Amino acid sequence: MIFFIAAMAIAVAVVWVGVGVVQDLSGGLKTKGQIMSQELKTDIEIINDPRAVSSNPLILYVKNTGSTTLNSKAVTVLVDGKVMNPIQTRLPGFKQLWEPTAVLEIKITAPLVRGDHWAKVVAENGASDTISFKTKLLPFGPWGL
Amino acid sequence: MGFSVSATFIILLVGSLAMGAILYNNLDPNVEDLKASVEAKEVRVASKEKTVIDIISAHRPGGMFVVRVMNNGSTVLDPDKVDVLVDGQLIPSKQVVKRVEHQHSHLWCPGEVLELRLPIPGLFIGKHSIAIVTENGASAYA
Repeated sequence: MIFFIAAMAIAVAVVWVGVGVVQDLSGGLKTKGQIMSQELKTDIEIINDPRAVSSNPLILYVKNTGSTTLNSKAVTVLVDGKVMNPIQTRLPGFKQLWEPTAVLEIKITAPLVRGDHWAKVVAENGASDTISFKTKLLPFGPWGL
Repeated sequence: MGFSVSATFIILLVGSLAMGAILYNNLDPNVEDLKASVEAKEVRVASKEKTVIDIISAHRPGGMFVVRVMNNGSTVLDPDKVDVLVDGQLIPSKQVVKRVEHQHSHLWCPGEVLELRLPIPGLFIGKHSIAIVTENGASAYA
């Protein structure tokens, strides 16, 4: 009888622990899968003309070429490997949500010396694009976003 | 002894089935979602690979800057989602008049020419750089 009760208790404990581990593991895998899925749906492209990028301020134009709507305030910009802060972002019509095919204007006020540079823009879920460019002093035209 | 083994076996079996059910319930929709995302990514990459555009002319009649762009790829494009940069500056889409030449359709099909009329009166006479970017990120420079 004692052997029976002990066997039952051990079996139940093993199942209890196993179910807990599987629940935890599958929850983690589900979250990771959702993040990966979101990242796969996200694509951004820096569309600046690499021959002519204004240096002061540096303005990057980033197009949402994926199929997800992104948060325009949750982008990170690196120039020559350094995180740029602060940055100003703007969408046409002053929208907050960065919808597919919309172009986000990112203005970086930190001065950049004239010459060759590279910039990387990272969206909220890790999707990114990089551009190498030459800076050029550009006159501001009557247009603008 | 025999009864203990059988009962333990049943408990472990039921537990294993429960674990399998938990895994299946949590992961099956996830796998389907991931599969759909991978397919969507493949479609986007293929679409960009198949998109080729070339600037065939740029001239300035009056105060307008007219750029003609040929769709030399094999994808049908949306003119409304084309972006234009002149001298590195993005021209707001609403200011650009877009028209597919000799067509009444609004689709920019392979072999067709898209005419872009840019009202930039302040643009000085001389050399300028133009960049055209399509909806999938394919671009042409002149």
